[in-house]
Amino acid sequence: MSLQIKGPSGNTYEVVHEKSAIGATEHFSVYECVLPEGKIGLLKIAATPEHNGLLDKEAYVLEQLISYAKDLEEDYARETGGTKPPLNNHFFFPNLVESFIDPTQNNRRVLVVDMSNVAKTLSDLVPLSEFGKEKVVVDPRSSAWIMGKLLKLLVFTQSNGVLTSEVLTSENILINKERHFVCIFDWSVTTFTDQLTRLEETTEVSSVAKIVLTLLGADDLGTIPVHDQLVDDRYQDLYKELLSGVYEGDTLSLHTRFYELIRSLWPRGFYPFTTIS
Amino acid sequence: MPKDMEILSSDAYTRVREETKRKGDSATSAGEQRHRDGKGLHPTVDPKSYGVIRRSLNRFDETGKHPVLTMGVAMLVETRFDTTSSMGGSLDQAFESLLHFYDLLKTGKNPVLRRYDAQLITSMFNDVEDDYVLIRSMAEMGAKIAEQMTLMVPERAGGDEPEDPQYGIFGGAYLTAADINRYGLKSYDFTVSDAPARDEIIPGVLVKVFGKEVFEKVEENGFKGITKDNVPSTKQAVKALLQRAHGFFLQVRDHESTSRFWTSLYGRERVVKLPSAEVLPQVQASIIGLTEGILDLQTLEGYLVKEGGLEKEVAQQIKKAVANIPIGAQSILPNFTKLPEAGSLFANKRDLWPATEDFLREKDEKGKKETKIWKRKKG
Repeated sequence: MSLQIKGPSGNTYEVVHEKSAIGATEHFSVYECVLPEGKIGLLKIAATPEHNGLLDKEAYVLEQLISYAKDLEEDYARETGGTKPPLNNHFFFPNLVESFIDPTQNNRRVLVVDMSNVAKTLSDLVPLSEFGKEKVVVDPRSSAWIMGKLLKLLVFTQSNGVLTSEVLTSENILINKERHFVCIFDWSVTTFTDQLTRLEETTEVSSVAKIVLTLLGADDLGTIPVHDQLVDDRYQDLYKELLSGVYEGDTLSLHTRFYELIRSLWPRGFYPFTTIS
Repeated sequence: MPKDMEILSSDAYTRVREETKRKGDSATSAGEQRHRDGKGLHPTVDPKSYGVIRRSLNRFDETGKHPVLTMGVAMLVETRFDTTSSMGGSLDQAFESLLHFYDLLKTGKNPVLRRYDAQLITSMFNDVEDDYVLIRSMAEMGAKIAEQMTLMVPERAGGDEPEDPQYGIFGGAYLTAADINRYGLKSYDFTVSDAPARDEIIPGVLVKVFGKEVFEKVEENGFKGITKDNVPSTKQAVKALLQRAHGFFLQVRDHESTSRFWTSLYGRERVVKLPSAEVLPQVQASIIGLTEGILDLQTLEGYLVKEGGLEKEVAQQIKKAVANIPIGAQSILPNFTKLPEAGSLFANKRDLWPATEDFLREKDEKGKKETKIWKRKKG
């Protein structure tokens, strides 16, 4: 028998496989659930009422992120006259459906999120921790779209004063391999600031560079294994520069520079996600 | 209620306020006059006095058979005010808003420290060159909170930053003994300023502030290895403070150098920029309520409008300002749900936990037997 949880909005969420959480920390458990209209979502529930604070914070963060994404989308549409594809920054984080204290669950906080922007089913999503040296390595062209998306994410978060250093881990970054989406799953340890310092910005960039280098099977110095797709050292050199934290310009100009580089290396167009055994 | 069981009532505060107004325009006219008369600090606010270590202890009614924890476990809240230069009016402001602050903590409709016996220390700091580098009250519960505020001596002058709150932070870290810590929970500590501080704590100034026994007192309070030749830095003192308190730096105004300095000591999640100095009580109550798990971010705006008496826009600013703090940090500590409640009977005043039913029954039985024997002898 599945568990049904009713929120103050009137929505009822059917928890799939109530006895087995798909993930858990000491603070909360995560279950797959069915949202209204049959979409697949995730339901997070605090471990005890005393652990409600983390999910309370996460609900606030997700509210702020969607607000920033919407404002930016409107500004962008106005500037471009609606002639360009949308920015879709809201794909980088789960869409908050509802957050509430559930008296039927011993007054624990429940957070319900919709992942349908980036996946039809949860099995479409894979954490980046599944790839790397001891596992399955990703080829350079595939790493390029992941890195490009992560840089775009950082442009969005850094320009809105959102510090992501704590959430940028390979376990917490999910990808949809088929449709080339990147999504950060858990935002409960995010903090806000008026303006990131240069060090904070470069540290976050170094962090994503290191994660992508791991996918490529690179060593600790950032040396990427030889591959036909790498005709010279420019791709590797850029990553080494980002690892050092010493580079010119802000994250936005870095994002532009990154795409200029990969367009000079490889043809444009969709490239299927490819791993090397 | 016995006098020493009092809380800060509206009548008590009004009495102190009216008396203060008779003495002068400022909340601290009494303290300032005492200073002008050459009498120095009143002992209740002199950091050297009353054994130096500030103690926040559970209160008991001992008039019955067993000590009764009358007000709940003692919860210490210390607020440390910069009174130099542009911050010179901070104590006046704090005095005027004291009753509202106390309401939010303890006596109002939705108090954030409802289950505790709220005990307040008020401190203020000047510069190291001033007559009084630090002034620190006792941990008080009733009218004395207000009375001891009036005995302070703000400098109201001073030149450029940095300022010297680090001696107050040292006191908070090493010269405070709070019963709440014995349960594994933490008290609350706020430093309010618009300027950075110095990272150095000078031994000679510690002696000037706390007296020549300062290092013995630190050791008496359980901290070994701190001597005049081995004094912690401000950063180390903050680290020690955060071991026993939910500590925060509340920043007035928006100077980047101030944010940068205090973020390096407290971490970003513990530096809160006040939307304005006037909303300090509401910000403190929000921080305490969120840390205790009594308030949450979803309902904070409504609380600040209804209980805090604020406009929606200001409530939103406060919500944004406090969103980074470690929410629920008190509620996840061991023993959070097990604290003795007001009315619990204890075997001894210094016990942590209430007496068991068996103990109380045995004691009552023993009492009855002793009475019987005495009566027989008398007969």
